[in-house]
Amino acid sequence: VSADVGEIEVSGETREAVQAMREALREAVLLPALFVSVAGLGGLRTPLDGGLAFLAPPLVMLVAALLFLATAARALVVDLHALVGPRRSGLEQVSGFVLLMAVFAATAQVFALVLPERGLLHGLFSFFLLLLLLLWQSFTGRREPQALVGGWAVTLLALLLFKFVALAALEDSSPGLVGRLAQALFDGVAGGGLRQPYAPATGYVAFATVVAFLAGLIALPRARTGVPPGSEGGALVTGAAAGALDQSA
Amino acid sequence: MARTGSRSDPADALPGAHPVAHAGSHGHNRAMRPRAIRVAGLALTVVYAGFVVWVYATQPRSVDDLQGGMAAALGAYAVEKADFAEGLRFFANDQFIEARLAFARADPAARDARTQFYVAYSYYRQGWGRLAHDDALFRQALAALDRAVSLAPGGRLAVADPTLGLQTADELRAEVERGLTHDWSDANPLGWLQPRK
Repeated sequence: VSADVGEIEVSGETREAVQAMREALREAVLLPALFVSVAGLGGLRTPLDGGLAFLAPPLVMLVAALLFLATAARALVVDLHALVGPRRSGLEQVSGFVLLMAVFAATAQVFALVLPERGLLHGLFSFFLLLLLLLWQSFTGRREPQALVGGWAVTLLALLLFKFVALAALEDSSPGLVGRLAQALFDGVAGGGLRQPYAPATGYVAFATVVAFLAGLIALPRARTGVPPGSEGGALVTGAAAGALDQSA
Repeated sequence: MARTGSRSDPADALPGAHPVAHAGSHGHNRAMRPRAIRVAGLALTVVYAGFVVWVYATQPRSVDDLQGGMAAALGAYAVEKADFAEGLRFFANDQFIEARLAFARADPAARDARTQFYVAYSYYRQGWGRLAHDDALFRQALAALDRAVSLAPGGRLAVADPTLGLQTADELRAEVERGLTHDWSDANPLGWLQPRK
């Protein structure tokens, strides 16, 4: 009987060890690589005349990314306790901080990717993005990661469609009279910001980038429970479960 | 009864995991592996992020440019000698368009200062005219010269080629900029006697 009990204990330990390794692999290798890739691809454009261009995010997108992180932390999409909390070891905290920086860079690039880049529309959309982030920050409930990711998935994909489908239609190389009039009108109104001189490949890369960003947000680690300070391993629980555990405590 | 000690660790079956000694060192190894993964992950992330920053800083204009830039950063970039020699032959025969095509094959990532100097020189010679110069070609000469100088160590570039009237980037730049300047001296008939360099 004692051997069986011992075997069960060893199995539990090995399960924890495997879990700790998987967690370390996800937190320190896979997710940072994903978000750095998103940050890199977020600025990639393929101009109509061929070649590549890499655009760094404008300053306003860095501010927007910071606001998004604050909102995401409030909704537990980015769980600061699970990344850089005091219960983690020094190495885990460094690892979590690097992941946090990667999420920040990826967010800034994704916002810059889906918003118009020049003219009046750039200013208008940037303003409304900041407004939307402030509203999310003020009114979103705590510990609602699914709501935040779902809401931002819809917002980002809608902006992506607007930029790479609706605006790209204006870039038709041989428009008729109505098309030319529409182009002139829109260019005049938007100060040139409506034209998207990019090849279709940019839109496909942008779509993949936004989807990867959203997948990364879903896969971010949430609060852990029952982990002694400084130790590896432990169970990952969802934000809602963490809330329930906190309440019971 | 001692089955627990002889059981294989499922963690050993993970990709990249190595079989480890059991018994006393087991717990120590278990604690080390996630730590090693985190250290390796940090190193990989820093290198990868550094690569992304480098790409944004150098702004490659094509995949060839990106590959060439990476090779140059690692010290492994080399000009295709046969194409360069062909380019020089075209250049000497005043076949400037053909020369630039050959130079582009020789230096696809535009990472070689000497080749870019010849590209600039080919624009200068093609655009040179006894009565008037072609400003568009002269501006392209300046752009190629900027590339060449940015690639030269210390920003100084000299090409020891006796067939060239201007053997340094500074001389070529001054000549091209003089050609792009339009003033009353353009009407001086003595200027029409100046040779192409």
